[in-house]
Amino acid sequence: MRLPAICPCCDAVLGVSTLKCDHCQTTINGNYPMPVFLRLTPDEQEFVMKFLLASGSIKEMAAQEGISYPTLRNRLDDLIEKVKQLQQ
Amino acid sequence: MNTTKALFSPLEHFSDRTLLITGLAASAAGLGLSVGFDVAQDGIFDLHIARLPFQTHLLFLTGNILLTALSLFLAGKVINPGTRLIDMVKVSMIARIPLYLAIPFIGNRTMVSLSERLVKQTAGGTSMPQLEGSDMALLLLLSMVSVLFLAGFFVLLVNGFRVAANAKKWQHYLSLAAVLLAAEVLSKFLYAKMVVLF
Repeated sequence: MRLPAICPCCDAVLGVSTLKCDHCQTTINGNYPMPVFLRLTPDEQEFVMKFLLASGSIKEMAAQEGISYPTLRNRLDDLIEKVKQLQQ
Repeated sequence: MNTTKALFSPLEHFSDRTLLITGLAASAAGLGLSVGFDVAQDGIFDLHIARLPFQTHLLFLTGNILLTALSLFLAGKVINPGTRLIDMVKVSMIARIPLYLAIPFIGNRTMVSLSERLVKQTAGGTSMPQLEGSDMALLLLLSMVSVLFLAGFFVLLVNGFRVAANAKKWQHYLSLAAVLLAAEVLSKFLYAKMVVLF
């Protein structure tokens, strides 16, 4: 199941209020901000993971994906812009 | 993969190797068509009937690809410092494919004899050439086909530039139009000088 990051009622970013240990059933309540990575769309998260697994090489990733280098570089540039905006 | 999208924006959907091989193969085919049909590519988007030696055809084709690539690269570098020349070379080679496809329409025997007749009729005089209905239909067909292939060239070029330079704003496309016009003027000037030299 995918972790929701945006409120379905008002479109604001959701926060984390409860964390639970599946092993000993301990529950922690608090008010934690949603990490930037989890605020990306599933496609963007998948892209970041693939980029990481390709050792951060766009060339390597382009060869694996069978698409051109500039296409992936543009996607990365757009993602960097989005992450910068989310961090502000 | 959406086939139509891939055809009109190949840089977005195909690997670098596929694009490079396709571009080189298309350029070789374009050179062959130019020599075979006696159609000179004497400008970055010009096609004219002219019987020229092989090396002049080769010079025009190489010049067109390099001039287009360099002008796209210059405009791209201003927009996005990460723009690579090799991507623009690929865009330049791939975008010319519609122009190569237009060569047989322009350089076939029927068209050549029609244009020779027109030149003879208009040479030296101011009178309008006498055209039969079939001639008019042929000229109309050629015009439509030429516009279609030229539009194909620009679509591939603009889409390739958009991906290679990550262009998004209208100012980016305006700069593309400016550098393309400059490259066209420069190509005409350079080729005129080179033909004299050769």
